[in-house]
Amino acid sequence: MVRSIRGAALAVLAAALTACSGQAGGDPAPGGTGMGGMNMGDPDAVPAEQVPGAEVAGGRFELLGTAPQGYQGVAGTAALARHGSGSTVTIELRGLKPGTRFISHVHEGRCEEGGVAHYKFDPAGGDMPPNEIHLAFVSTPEGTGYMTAENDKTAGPDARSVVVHPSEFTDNRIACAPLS
Amino acid sequence: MSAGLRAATALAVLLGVLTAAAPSAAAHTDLVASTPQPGATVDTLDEIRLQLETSLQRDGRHVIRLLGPDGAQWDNGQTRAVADRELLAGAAPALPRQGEYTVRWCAVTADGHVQSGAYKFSYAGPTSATARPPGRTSDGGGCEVPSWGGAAALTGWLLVGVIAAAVLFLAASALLRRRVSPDHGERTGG
Repeated sequence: MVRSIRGAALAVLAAALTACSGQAGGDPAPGGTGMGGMNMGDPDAVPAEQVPGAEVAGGRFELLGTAPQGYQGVAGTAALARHGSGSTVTIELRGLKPGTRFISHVHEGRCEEGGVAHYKFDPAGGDMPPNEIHLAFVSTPEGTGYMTAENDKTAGPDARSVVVHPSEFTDNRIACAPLS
Repeated sequence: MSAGLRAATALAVLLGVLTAAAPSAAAHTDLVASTPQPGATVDTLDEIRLQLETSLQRDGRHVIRLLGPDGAQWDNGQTRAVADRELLAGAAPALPRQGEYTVRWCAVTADGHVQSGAYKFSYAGPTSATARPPGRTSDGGGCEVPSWGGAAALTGWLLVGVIAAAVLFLAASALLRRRVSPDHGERTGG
């Protein structure tokens, strides 16, 4: 009986700790799977432009009027590959503030509109991956940034742009790149 | 399956449901429009007005903070919901310097979620060497997203209680086993 209850206590402890780990908030860990198992990108994944047999769309990042000071020189590219295993998005940036955390999202609006809302695979679904595509990264000392995110669903035609923000100031949209 | 294991399974399922139902502290920013706008350069700064995508709790703990280039607080500390989806806070009557200011905000939506965000903009208007931060707030202080608020608090305290009970039981069980085990007596005797 005691052994049975002890087994139950161990199971409860494991379940509670698992629940705690899923509860943790805060910024996702850059360059990989964030806390709670959210996919925020993998810098070692095959870049969008190199996915075999994929249909690739993309363009150059352009500075937005909502960027804070210090980003006037930002530039780079974004690419979305639609393929048999889903979607792959790769971004490459330069002119960023060094050693800073950034977050990028695929948006449904055009860059001329500032990107508007985040693109969702299921419009009625949640606002975190895997229902959205997010790419988290930390800029290098030289001010460059790079990340690839994969999703097992194929993005629809409403995935129109990629917007990058400083993680600390998410309402400042720095730059936008078209995915068409 | 023993009664203990059945209870553990039921509790694990309950924890999972509660965790999934709890508002996310990492919820997305919900800002639709604002005055001043993110990244803008303004010559006047009387108020900070935020329009959010989601309806707000009328009596929720909403906070807008305006921080100067030196980090000091320059809002009037009186954030309020002025419409279903709109927050307003006043700025100090005078500002000490031009430069990049920061807005940090958090808001409680009608469904109990906490939304938060932050942005920078530039102030290039008149300044006053005698300007002083208001130094008082009536809207609850800083704009940190509460880690354990509302339904999340219930889940959090439940988890803490379950972990504490499980650890205590395991410790007591181990102690009891050491006392009744015949091997224990042999080891200590040899």
